[in-house]
Amino acid sequence: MDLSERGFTLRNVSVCHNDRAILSGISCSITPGKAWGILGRSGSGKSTLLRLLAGLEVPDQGEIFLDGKLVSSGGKIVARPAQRNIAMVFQDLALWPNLTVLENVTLGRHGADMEARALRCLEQCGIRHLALRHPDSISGGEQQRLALARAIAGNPSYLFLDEPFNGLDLEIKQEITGYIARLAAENRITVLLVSHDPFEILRLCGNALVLEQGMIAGHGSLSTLLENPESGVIRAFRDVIDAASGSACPGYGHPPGRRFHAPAP
Amino acid sequence: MSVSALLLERPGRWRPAGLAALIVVAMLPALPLFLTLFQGPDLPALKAARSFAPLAARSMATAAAGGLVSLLVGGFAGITQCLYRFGLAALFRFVMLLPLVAPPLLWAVGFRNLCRWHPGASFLFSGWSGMVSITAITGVPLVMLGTIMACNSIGNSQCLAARLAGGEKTLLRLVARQVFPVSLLAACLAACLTLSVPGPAMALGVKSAVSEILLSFSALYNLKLAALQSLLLASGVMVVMGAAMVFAGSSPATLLVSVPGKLDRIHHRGMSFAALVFHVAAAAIFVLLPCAGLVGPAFSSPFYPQVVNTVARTLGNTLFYAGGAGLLAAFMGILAVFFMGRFNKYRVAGFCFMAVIIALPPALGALGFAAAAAHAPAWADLLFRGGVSVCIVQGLRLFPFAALAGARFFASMPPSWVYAAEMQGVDFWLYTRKVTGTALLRIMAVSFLTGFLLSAADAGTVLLLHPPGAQNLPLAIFTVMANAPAGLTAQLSLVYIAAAALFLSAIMALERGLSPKRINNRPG
Repeated sequence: MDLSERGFTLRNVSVCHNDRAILSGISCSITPGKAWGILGRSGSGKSTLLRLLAGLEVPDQGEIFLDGKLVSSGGKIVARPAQRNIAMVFQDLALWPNLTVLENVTLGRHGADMEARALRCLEQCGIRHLALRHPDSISGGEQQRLALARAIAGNPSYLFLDEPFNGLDLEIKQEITGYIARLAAENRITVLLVSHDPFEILRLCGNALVLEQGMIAGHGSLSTLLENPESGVIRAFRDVIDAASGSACPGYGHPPGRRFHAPAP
Repeated sequence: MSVSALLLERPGRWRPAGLAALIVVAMLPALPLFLTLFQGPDLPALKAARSFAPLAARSMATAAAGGLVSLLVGGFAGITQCLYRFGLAALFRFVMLLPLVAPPLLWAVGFRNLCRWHPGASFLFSGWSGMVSITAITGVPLVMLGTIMACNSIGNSQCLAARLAGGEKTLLRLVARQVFPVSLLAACLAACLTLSVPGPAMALGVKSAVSEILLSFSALYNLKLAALQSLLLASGVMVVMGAAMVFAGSSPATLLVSVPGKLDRIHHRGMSFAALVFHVAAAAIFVLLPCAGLVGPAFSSPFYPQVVNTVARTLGNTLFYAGGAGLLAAFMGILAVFFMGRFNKYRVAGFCFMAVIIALPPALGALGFAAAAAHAPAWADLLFRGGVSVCIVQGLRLFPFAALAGARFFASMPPSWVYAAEMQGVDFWLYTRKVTGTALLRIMAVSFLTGFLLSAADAGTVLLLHPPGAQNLPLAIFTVMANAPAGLTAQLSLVYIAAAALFLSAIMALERGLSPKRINNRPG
């Protein structure tokens, strides 16, 4: 494993919660520039992996490197999340209800032009007019966009998305995935998406990391993984896409008949 | 200094260590009492203490009977308030909570007056049966409150599934089974609390265990005997609470901090009517009846100048003792929440110890402080012999209530808030000030007011520790009760109940807006 390469490098990383192994000795690289989908069944360790990479959780064993620098090692965080140039959109969005939309974006961030930058991000996400409202007074789609604006306001290199589309209707999901794809391209952000929905993964990600029972069951280009499915997760993933592409409901706008239409890495 | 906001969510050895330190500090006032017992055997005291055992057993049996009544009444009231919509539900909740924040002595005075007017009522409201009624009066609001908190863990879909499976009967059975551990613990706690209060027994002319302890200390000046009796009573309380906690398991710690607002109450023709009738009856028997016993004498013979004089004389002390205790309780409660965090094992351990702290007779800490005061140097007078000692002993005993309120608030904030703060570079201090600040102030206010009210209602600790001439209002009522005209006692009691009602309404108003709003990622 080349530690000098850019992106995340995990070496023999293990995490246990209450004596139960969540991740068992995983080693892999997550290179920048390509969007990654993290796939796996419930409880396979997807969200834990994301929190580990973000520095929100401490690995029990192993080391995590970012751009060749050690950021976490067994039992301790070497570089705090704010030092990793990462942003994250949480499953419940984690918006602070007593702060305004603008304050949600600016809190904890410094710099003379912070407010202007925050407003620019709100503009990019199409919610600048809501800057002085409180998050609980805006719609679900707008809350989603606020979470995105808050994430990109720090000019991150990586954007972690932890199942952020749960509970959204298809239309808003379409709109938000479109936003993410555009923002990632405009701001040169590498997206890491945890999702159970094959179409979300297919729409946003060119690469995939497959977890099964806390271990890596697949890693690399999504198209290659789908062509040669070795894990049950990928096989199930492919079956869903096959079924959708053969049906009258093509789901997320993938043309019927075109299998494994993953974006080019 | 930059401290990570993740501190709030991360485990660490400092959590159990801090919690243990807090528990030790809370138990500290009782320590000198144990030390006096190790100073040498006192055979007459031992002999007298042995004769105390049957009295303690009788007191405990009475408390158990009262606890059982409060379990049935408070449990049903709590469940119906959570599941069904019925007229004046909020008012009934308020009325039924009143006995919790007023000294049990006042209700006993009400019963005593009632029995004087209608000797037929003596069967239920005097002697040991009166003690059972007083225990039930204090216990019903505690059990009701615990049941309501535990009901918050039940979701609408669970209710719907139960209704589909077997109608209201099945639903009630399932909900009762779910909340039973909490209701049982609350009933045991209520029984132990009443067991430790001397006022009602004295008002009803009953020789109870705690009135005997008071006699040993205040009339016989035998600290060693009082210590032995306190420890004997405390052992009984520990056995009862221990058994209840083993039976309840770890579920109360989870149920009590479950996030409110998941359950929609429905209007069910039969059950809503039954709930209304039940609440009318319960409020009439447990609150209005003893109040009627106070209102009658209060208006038959006016003692307004004496009432004003007594209130003016005791107001400063009442506010000082209760305010000091409330502040200490709120501070300790928030610290306890900080140490327990979101970790169930610490919550279970913390709440188990805290339940024991509340259940133990307040005489234990008060007598311990009195024993320490006997050996304390002159420069420590302010701490050991002044009004501060009352604040310390009461605050250390009542902090678990503040901890419970704080833990519920903490549980209502998702951990992702802290994660988002950490990602954004928001440190612990900024997070506490900006994100949780307003709600934290509110929870501090609720904790303070709860500690204030519960402490103000305590006459026992003040009786044992107050500096000469510095009584609080309940103690003044307790003192005049035996010799003063019934009208004066009744008027003073009504003044106290009116003030407590005002404070209770303030707490309820604050509590209503306490839970931070959660934001779901669903279209609005």
